[in-house]
Amino acid sequence: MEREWALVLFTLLNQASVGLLAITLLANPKEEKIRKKLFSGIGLLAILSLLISLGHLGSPLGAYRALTNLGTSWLSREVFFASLYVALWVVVAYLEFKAGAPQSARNTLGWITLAVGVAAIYSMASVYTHTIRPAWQTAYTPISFFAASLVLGSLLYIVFHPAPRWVAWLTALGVGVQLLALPPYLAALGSGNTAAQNSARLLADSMFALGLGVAGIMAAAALAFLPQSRTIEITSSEQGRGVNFLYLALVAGIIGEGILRYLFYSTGVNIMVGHF
Amino acid sequence: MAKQLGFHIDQNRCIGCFTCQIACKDKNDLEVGQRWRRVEEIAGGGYTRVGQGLQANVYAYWISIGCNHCQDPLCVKNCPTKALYKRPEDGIVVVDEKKCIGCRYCVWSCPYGAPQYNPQKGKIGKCNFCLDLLEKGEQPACVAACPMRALHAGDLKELAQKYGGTDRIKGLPDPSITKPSILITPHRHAAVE
Repeated sequence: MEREWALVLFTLLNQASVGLLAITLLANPKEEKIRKKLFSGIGLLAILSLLISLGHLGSPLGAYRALTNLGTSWLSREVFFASLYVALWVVVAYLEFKAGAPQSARNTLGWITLAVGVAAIYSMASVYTHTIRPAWQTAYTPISFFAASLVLGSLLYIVFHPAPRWVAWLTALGVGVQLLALPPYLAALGSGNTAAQNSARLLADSMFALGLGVAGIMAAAALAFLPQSRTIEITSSEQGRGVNFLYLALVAGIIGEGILRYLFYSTGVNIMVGHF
Repeated sequence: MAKQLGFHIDQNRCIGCFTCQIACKDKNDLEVGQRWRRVEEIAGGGYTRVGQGLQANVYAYWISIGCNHCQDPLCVKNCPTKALYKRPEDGIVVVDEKKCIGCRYCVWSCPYGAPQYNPQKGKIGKCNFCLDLLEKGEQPACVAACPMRALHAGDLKELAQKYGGTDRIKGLPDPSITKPSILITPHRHAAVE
C-alpha cells in the first residue's frame, strides 16, 4: 500500500476550499465580519493545500517547473488551476477586506474564482483517470472528488456561520452521491482485470476502514441537520449543544472523507508485467 | 515514419539467467531496488492424473523487460515538466534529470514499470538505451551481456524483418495503451492465439 499522505491532504484541503467558496457565494452572507472569516478560511485552506502538495515531490524546489507541460499533462493543468485559484483568491480577499469595493465586482470575481477552483478539481481528478491504474480510471474519481468538495465545504460553512437549511441538504447530497457511487465502483473493480481485482482485494482487506469512512460521512450528514432545528429554540444551553453538534459533524466529515481518500490512494494498483 | 529503436527478445532462447538485469545495474551503477531492466518469471500449469501416474504440464518462461521506448508513451504525455521526452531522431525516451521534480506521475503512467523513483536523488531514473554506448557504435549493456543471444536491439523495422515477433504476449499489458517498441518471439505458453 502506498501512503500518499501529502496527496490525501492536498486534494482534501483544496476541495474543501473550493466547496466553502461555492457555499459562501450561494449563501452570500451579508455581515462583513462573517464574510472576512469565511474568505480567510477559503484562502488558508487553498494555500495550505499547495504547500502540503510540495511534500509529495522528490525535488520540491523545482515545483514551478510543473507548469511547463500544460498541453498534454493533467498534472500541469492541476498545478496551474490550483495556483491560479490562490492568485484570484488574493484579489477577491483584497476586495472583501477593503471597505467600499463594489458588490458586483466582488461577486463576479468570486464566481470566476469558483470556476477556476472547479477546473482545479476536474484537473485533479483527470490526473488519476489518465493513469494505468484501473481503480483510478473510473467515474468514481471525479464523482468522489466533487462530492467531497460539497461535503467538506458545506460542513465548514455550517461551523463558520449559522446556515440556512439547504446547506445541510447539500452535505446530505454530497454524502448520498458518494454512497451511490460506491457499489458500482466496487463491482467494476471486482469484475475488472487483474490490477482492478487486486485493488478490490486491497479494499476488501480494508473493509473495516471503508466502513468507518462511510459511517463518518453518514454521521456528518445526519449531524449537520440536528443543530439547525435545535437553534430555533433560543436558549443558551441548547445553542451551546447545537454548536457542539456542528463541530462533531465537521470532525465526522473530515475523518470520513480522510479515510475514503486514504483508501483511494492506498488501493490503486498499476497494470503490470506478469498480469494476465 | 522516423527511425524507432527498440528491442527484440527471443523467449525460446531466454533461460532466465538475469544477466541482462545485472549488466544494466552494473552499467548504470543502480542502487538496491532500482532495476531499469528486469527479468520477470511467468510460471503455471500443473499435473494431471493419467492412469496410475501424473503427467506434468508445468511451464515457465521469462520476460526481460525495460523501457520499451513506446511510440505513444503515456509517461511523456503526463510528465508535467517535460523532463521525459522522446528523441525525434531515434525514438528513444529519455529523462532529463535536471527537469525532473520527482512527482512520480510517470510511475503511475507506465504499464511496464520502466520509470523508477530514486529516493536518494528525489528523481526518476530509467533505461536510456545506453546512449553513450550507442554513440560509440556499441550495443546496450543488457544486449551485449546476454549469454544466450536472446536479446537484440536496433531499428524496430529491421528487427521485425530479421526476427519477426509480436508485442502481444501473455503476461504483457495490452500494447494498444502505449505502442511499445518491442518485438518478442514468444515461448509457446506465452503466445496469444
